[in-house]
Amino acid sequence: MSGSQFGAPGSFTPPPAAGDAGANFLSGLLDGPTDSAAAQRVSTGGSHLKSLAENGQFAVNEEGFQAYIKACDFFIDGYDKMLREVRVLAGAARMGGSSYARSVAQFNAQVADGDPEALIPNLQLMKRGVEEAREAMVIARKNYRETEEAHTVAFAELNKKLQEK
Amino acid sequence: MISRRIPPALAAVACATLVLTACTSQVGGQASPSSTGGVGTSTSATRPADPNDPFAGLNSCSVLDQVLAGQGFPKATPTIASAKVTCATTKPRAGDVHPVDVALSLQPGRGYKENVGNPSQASEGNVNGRPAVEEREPQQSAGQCGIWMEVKPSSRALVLVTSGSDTANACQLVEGFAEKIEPLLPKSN
Repeated sequence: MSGSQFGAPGSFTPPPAAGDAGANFLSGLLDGPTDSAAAQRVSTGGSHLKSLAENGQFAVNEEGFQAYIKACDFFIDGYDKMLREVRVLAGAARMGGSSYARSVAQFNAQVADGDPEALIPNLQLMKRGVEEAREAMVIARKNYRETEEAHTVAFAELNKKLQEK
Repeated sequence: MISRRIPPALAAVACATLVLTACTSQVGGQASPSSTGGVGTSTSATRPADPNDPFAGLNSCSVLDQVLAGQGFPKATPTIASAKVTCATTKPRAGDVHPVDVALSLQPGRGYKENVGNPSQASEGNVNGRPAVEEREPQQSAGQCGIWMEVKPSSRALVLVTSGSDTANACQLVEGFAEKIEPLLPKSN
């Protein structure tokens, strides 16, 4: 047989012994509040920036655009690697065996993750904020080009009128 | 409850900064042991012959390099977490096309169904006939998809793709990589 075949999402049945430990661990990571101040600021900031750009309230030239995009991509791309590390860490934890072993594995993963209750939701919030900031920059560059084009057209008209005189 | 919340949030941001810094300054070669690495692993880097380790003599970095050759990925390097059994590589961003991060973890002594993340979105299946479980958004974050493949006796290989926010695309990519990695794993019958 070649290729890969999988059933519909949800067709997976976790094994009885270790399944709930993994689920408990993950729900601890994921159920936390998503309102920590720093993450919320990034998220709101990105969203605000985007609405400003959409309303034509700011423009950015090519040089500025490249600099901002580089900064946004640094975070967005770094997030992928961080998420990979957290997954490898959580997936590698030995959840089976004695309850002591299970506790130690879980503790190790939590320590390395930072706060198990808030890390991933807050990072997701920040990621969304940075993605919106990036989208804002793309719109702002368009705004700049359109403004520049409008100026160029006006200038050409002026030139034409001057020449006609 | 609220006062308890603030320091962890700051810690989360500091941690994020640290990890990002570590990721951008990666150098090749063996990762040195640190407080964050090697959780739950006791296998040595050289993986000497061990009757209970079906992966003896197999290196996850070499397997990734072989499978991804010619596709624009740099040489795979050990990850920060579980460095002794796990390697990863990232195809860099190309304009608006998100980077593609691929990780391979060869884990002896644990069954392939033991640590499936986000089980309600996972599905059972096979890769080239080898029993496997596909986990979608194992951390409930879009753009990540993993496949756990069975390797006997009671061991497993994890292939993980993290790329942007398109989970369907990540799953399609991870299936393609898993199909190429599977024949290089110890036979499972």
